[in-house]
Amino acid sequence: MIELLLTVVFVLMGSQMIQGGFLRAADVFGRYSSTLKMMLWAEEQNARAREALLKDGSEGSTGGTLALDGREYSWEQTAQMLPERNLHAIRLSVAWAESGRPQTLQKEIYVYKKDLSQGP
Amino acid sequence: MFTKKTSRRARRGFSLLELLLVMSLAPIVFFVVYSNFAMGVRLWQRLQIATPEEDRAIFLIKARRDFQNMRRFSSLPFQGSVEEVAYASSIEAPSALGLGRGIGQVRYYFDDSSGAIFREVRDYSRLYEDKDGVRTLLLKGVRSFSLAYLVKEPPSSEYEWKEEYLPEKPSSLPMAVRLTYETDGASQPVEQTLIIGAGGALS
Repeated sequence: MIELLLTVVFVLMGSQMIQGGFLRAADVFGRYSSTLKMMLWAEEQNARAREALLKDGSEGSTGGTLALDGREYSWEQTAQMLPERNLHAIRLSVAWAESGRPQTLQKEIYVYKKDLSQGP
Repeated sequence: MFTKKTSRRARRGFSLLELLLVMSLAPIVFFVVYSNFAMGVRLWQRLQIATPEEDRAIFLIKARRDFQNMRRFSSLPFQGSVEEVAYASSIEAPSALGLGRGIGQVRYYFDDSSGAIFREVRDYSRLYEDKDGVRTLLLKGVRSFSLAYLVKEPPSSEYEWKEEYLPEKPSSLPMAVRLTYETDGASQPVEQTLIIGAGGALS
């Protein structure tokens, strides 16, 4: 009887450990997958903002929500001139929930654009 | 050797209580083992679906890093067409010259017959001898691939996307390169802009 109960307890404990491993693997994979996707999306958004800044000097902030593969990502982007002459910074932050935990990603690029109104 | 007690017990078999316990515990154990197995299978299926998407993302990350290593080099000018792009970059030096890094040519192109995007690296000796470089498969399962270049050059001096890059000076570089490609199973083409840090024409 004791042997039987011990066997059952050990089987259940082992099973729980395997299940925990699976859940952790799924969690890590989900986080990695979302971060990878958002990293590329954010870089593309920043590249487009850089293009707009170079072409027509578009600055300011914008934001919104992006729905991708059943998950919602909220994002905010700012493009502003820095105190250093002719230098602009474009910053993008993305936030989403991964297994109930908040995740964030931030990407920043700098753009050099000569302001001809300031003289040579 | 069995003791008297054990041999009597062995002859007697299981008691009703033991049998009931086994019968009640067995489904619990089976259920837990089965749920673990099912979860493992689900996870495996999800990984199989997601892997091509991750491959695409890893390809873009590699390409981005490669384009960031681009160099202005007048003897190896930037060559860009809609099908392929070649430029001077920091590469691993040939082993004959010792370990380290040197300048070479990196080429990205799409091979229609195999449906894949390749990266080819040629060091100076291979370029001089007009030999093929070291080819690496970057992304397979590609249906179409095209390139465009963001330039700002006279006479218009406006930023615009062009399908071919014709540098004003041998050391000129575009401001950015846009890759557009479509992969098997994807619903729409992917567009990714790779910024060239050292880009732009020299004044």
